[in-house]
Amino acid sequence: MVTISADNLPHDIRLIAAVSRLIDIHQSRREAGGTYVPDVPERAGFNLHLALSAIECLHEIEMDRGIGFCPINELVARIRKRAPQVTDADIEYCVSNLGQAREIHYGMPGQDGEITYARTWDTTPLIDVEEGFSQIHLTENARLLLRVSSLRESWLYSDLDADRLIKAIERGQFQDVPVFCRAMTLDLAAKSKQLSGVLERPSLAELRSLLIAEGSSIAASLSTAAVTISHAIELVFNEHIQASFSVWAGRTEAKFYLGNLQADLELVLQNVESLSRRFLRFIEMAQRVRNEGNAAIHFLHIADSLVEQGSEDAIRRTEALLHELMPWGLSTTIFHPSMMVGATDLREQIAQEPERVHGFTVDPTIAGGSARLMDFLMRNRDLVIQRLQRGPASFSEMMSLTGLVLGEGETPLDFFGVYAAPGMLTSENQKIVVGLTDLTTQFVHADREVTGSDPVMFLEETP
Amino acid sequence: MTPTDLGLVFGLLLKHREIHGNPPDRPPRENELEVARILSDCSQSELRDLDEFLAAQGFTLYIRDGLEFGIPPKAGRNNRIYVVTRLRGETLAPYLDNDWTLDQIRDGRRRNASKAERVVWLARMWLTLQWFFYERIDRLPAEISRYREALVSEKLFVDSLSKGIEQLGNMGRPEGMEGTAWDLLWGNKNSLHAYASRFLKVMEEAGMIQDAGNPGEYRQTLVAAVDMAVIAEHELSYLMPSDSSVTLERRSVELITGQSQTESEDADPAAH
Repeated sequence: MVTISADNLPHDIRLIAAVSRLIDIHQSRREAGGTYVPDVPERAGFNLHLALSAIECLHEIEMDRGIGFCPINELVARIRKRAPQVTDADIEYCVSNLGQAREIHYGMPGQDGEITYARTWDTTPLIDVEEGFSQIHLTENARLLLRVSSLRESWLYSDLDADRLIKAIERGQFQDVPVFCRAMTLDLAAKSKQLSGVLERPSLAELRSLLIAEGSSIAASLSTAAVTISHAIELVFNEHIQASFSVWAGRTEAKFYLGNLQADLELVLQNVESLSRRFLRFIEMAQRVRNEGNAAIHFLHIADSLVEQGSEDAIRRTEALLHELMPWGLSTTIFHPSMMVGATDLREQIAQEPERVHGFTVDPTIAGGSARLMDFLMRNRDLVIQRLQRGPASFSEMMSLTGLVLGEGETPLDFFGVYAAPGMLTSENQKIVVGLTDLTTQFVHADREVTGSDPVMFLEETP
Repeated sequence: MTPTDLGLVFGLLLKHREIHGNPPDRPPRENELEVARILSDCSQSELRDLDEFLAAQGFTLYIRDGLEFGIPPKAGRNNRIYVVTRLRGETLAPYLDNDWTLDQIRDGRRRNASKAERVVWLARMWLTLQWFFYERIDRLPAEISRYREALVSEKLFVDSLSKGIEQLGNMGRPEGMEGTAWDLLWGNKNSLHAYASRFLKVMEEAGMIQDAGNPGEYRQTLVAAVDMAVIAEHELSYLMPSDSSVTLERRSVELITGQSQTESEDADPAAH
């Protein structure tokens, strides 16, 4: 075992050491006589290291993905990466201890000077294992511990969170900047989630009122943070800092460039600004949120009542409702590439592409497309005009016209082009107008189902 | 947004219902980062056009910043989340199949199971799943941001279903025609495991639940949380047991408007 001087102690150990005597006196019994110093077991160092590693690993996962449960397996894998000798039993022991609450008793002086005693229980567990699941996350207590622990920088930088960025840059401690940026981003994400929670849950009315009451000071501190980070960004672009970064990078074989720091700082600034905007919207909305409504829904009670009143009619009603509630499936036979994103090999589709049943193409190498349309129209112009003189006709009606003169490979579908270019049939005193409708037409043509809108065509004649 | 971009966006939304440039619990899907970038470059009017395009097919687009759900952003990634959900009051496009879930939960060994049986089982399983996601963790459907805390395991799900059916069995069959659903549940209790595992698979396939990292454990997806918030506001009241104090007239108004009325509104219609 080695002894390290107080100045070189890891910061979290320093913190634990500083509060240890308070816990000891809390646990002491005066009747035993003398001062109380608990026996320290052999494995104390191992246990504490494992516990701190578990908390750090969970914090890393949160910084990466945000606040939420993570599988215990993932935590085990991360701890093993740091300390391969740790066994499953060690981790299980550690997790169950950190998740267990314990009592802390304390006294508070009352107005008349008398001390009243109280106890706390909920504020002690550091991790939460979801009952019945192998999922785990840090509690707010652990996050508080991490925040206090991370204030070690204040022993070095002694200022506000955002200010520490400037101090780190000015002192050339560039390795700290990405860590600070990530921690600030997570903090901003947590604050933002808290705003969502307050808006979504009426029972958090007290917290909502507090946030509204403190609105101006919170908004002011956010805008101060934005100014400070902007200053930090300016600083990173400063020539003197760039030179000092080069020296530092050469000395420490840094794994990142100054550009990375600039990007990190800009991301933090964007998020502070985004949270500021959101906070202003929150203040506006929170004052309008109603406390009533949004009552808890007793799902199993509903499930039971569906069986207690389970006639055939009731089942039919439930089925109709399920149609509205359940996820849908795709049941289309119409091909469209957008429906196949990432799921189909189009080469096969192209190989089996059927012969074209219409006369249009967007391929400029195939000659005669427009001439073919024109030929078709000229051949059938009189028939179309005759029909329209009797009154307006829809596309589906025109398709059923008999007497169309068709060239080789042509079908009545070739007629479709006229809707895009009715001017082709226009003469000096006759003008064809196409009007769109909300009707659709569907018919089978050459063994294929054709579906489309059903525009109406009519003739305007000038004497 | 070019037509190609629109096709990419719509294709991904139709297939997965969600686009996120910075998903915390899964790797990005094919084309997802590109599509997230396309959407982040869209102006407000382009997003309005997209919403209009979706509305024509019975959908609406729900957009939230991942920061609101506590998801820390990453440099160069769009942290916004885009979820497509049903547009209330519009019918779904005809190429979508409303019966899909009911068909999918069919037990392969009992292909002849009646539709009524599947309806009764599906409703019970769906409500039990929602119990895990909301009532068990004291969460309201409006609390979308807590979707990552909503967990379910196959084992606990089966236990809970089984316990519920056991209780119903002990209560005895409701009299007469009212006992049809009871018969379908109690008479097919041996299919419980098959139904439960089929149901969870279908929910996973539909993007309502996702793997939570341990075998047999799932968590709610954001898509499901958004869906449920809307469902709780609109349709869920029709599944709730009718309260004898609620007048027939009020229920009829609710059915027509699609919104439940509060006591005060009921008492004083002139207040509007």
